Amino acid sequence: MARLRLPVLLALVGLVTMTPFAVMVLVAFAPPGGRTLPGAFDLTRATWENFSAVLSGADITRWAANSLVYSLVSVVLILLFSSMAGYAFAKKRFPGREVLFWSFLATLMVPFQATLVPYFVLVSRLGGVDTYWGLIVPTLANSQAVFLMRQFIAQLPDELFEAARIDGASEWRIYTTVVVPLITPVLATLGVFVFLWHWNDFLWPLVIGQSSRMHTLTVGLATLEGENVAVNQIMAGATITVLPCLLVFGLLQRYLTDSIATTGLKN
Amino acid sequence: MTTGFKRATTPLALLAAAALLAGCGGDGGNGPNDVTVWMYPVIADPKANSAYWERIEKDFEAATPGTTVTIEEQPWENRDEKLATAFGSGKGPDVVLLNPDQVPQYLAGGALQPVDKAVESIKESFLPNALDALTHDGRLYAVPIYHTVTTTLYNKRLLDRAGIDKPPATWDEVRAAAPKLKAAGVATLDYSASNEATLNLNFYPLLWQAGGSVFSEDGKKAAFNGPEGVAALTFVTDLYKAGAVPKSALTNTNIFADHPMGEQQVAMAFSSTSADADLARKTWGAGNVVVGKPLRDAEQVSFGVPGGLGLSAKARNTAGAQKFLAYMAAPERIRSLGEASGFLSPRTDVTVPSDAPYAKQFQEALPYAYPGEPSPVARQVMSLIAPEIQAALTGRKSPKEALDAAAAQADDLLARQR
Repeated sequence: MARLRLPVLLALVGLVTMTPFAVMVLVAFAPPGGRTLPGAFDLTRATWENFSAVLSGADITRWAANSLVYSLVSVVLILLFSSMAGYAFAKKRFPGREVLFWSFLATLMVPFQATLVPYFVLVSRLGGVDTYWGLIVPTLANSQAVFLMRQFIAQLPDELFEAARIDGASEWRIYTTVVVPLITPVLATLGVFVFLWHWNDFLWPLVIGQSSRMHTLTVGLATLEGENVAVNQIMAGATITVLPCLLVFGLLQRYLTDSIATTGLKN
Repeated sequence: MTTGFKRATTPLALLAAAALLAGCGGDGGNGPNDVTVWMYPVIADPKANSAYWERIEKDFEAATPGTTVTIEEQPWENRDEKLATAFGSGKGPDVVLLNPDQVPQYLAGGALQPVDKAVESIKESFLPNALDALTHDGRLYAVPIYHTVTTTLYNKRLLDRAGIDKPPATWDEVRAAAPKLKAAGVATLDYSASNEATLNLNFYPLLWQAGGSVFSEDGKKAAFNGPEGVAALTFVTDLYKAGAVPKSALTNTNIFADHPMGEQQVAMAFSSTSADADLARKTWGAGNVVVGKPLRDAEQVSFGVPGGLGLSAKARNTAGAQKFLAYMAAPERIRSLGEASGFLSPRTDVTVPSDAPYAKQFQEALPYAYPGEPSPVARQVMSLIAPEIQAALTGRKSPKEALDAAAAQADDLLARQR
């Protein structure tokens, strides 16, 4: 009896977590204009109509490409910069290290809405409005990512680095051959998070991409929603945006479980 | 374990480099002859919306040699954040669609310039209410291109069931109908008191009908806690206590479908849109839908706003932008936009030809449409009043106590304004 308690509890939590997703998909396939719930449970009346309404007349391929560029490029660069910075903050001794690190981390406390205007003014003066670099570069200094990396790298034994140095390895070589292979699980975990943050991001792509060519998927789909848009269509749009997230998660899930499974193991 | 990851990083890194090296965007929109317009999904069907504005681009350019126009479709969501940011850095559009309540805040920031010149010759043709809503200090800041209106919607089946032949058109008639409808097992008046619901579609119309106003004449003080406001809130509170306003009012957000009005649990609503009426026709059957004139107490009034095209103070091509404003205000465009969007004409000399089933009734409600009182803090004040209305409905405060509490906070807020 006691042994069953945990699986049952986990199943319940899983069910609660999955319900909104299931409802989203059901409502997205329900006939438009009718009652959404419980009408959506009638699968015999399922229809693609809401999806075609959302996607009709839309430059969906362009927006999806923009979202992909924004998300993937940010993932690669954030992983690169944050792992380098994390290594420096964790294993290098230099004056002002702690002050610098904690000041950088303190930026987490400032909500994005508060820095939005100065950010935008800076980027627009540099000619970054409606460009990929204007979209991507301001998001690269990610304090959460650096913090995660620093904590993970700090746990790696110093002997590894000393051995590499005695063997005459350069800093770059230590970073590429010692640090990167050891932090793969956390890179994968962080990669998933960063991808999701960027894929679902709305406010920054909205203000920086002024022409419809530069809209990301989240912004583009929002331009198709009138003021009195049916809830079925909103859910169809949400279903479209959530699919790539599930795909990325599915692909990298192995690394996620690896990173969780190896936590707590000594090297 | 790392090989897959390594294999993936090379193409990604190349993609990163390619993206960062990709040339600057923004073709057009920057020339001295170009006019950039920010437009929102005013036409519900996305395909029709895109097609309509593309056609406007082509037709305008054909009619106005030497001026090019770029119409960018933007989302309603977070539109003020986007516009404020863009204007703040001098990167905004030349022309943008504005609601009356947006004008004061952008005016205060010096982002708009008057547009009187663009419509000099046709100013007399606009609905006075539409011009008033977009005028500040005697100057017009946006050219009305459409007008929305809300009015009273009745469910005939429920009225019949309670033996009510004439739909209640005044507050007194609503009060008189409530016991009969209660006996028939339904609520009388739909109401939305969620903190997320704009007050323009629930409390304010009742306040205006009682003869009250949200702000004092000079806009520097709250006025909604005067006797008229108290009368309006007492009207709703009494109905709520008697079960004549659905109990779910506390969480309703001015939505029709899946809510008491759409579900035929309440006999009438006083802020319905033509989209609501169309949905009612589909779900209740045409025979059960009655669209009336706005509800009446001391005044007969409902919420309705003009949508207007404003002109940026930093427009690079002011002359071209003014030509575009005049072009959009011409009768043909007012008619074509009205037909495509289902909105009404802001001009007294132009009627939108519509075969929509309730177009005539909504057109008749238009003279009673009131856009509310412009204030840079209009939205914040709503968020102060909404929780107090809930407190009154749930009986934690009397209507007067609730409105006085909100007014004290609103006065503080107004005093802090420049």
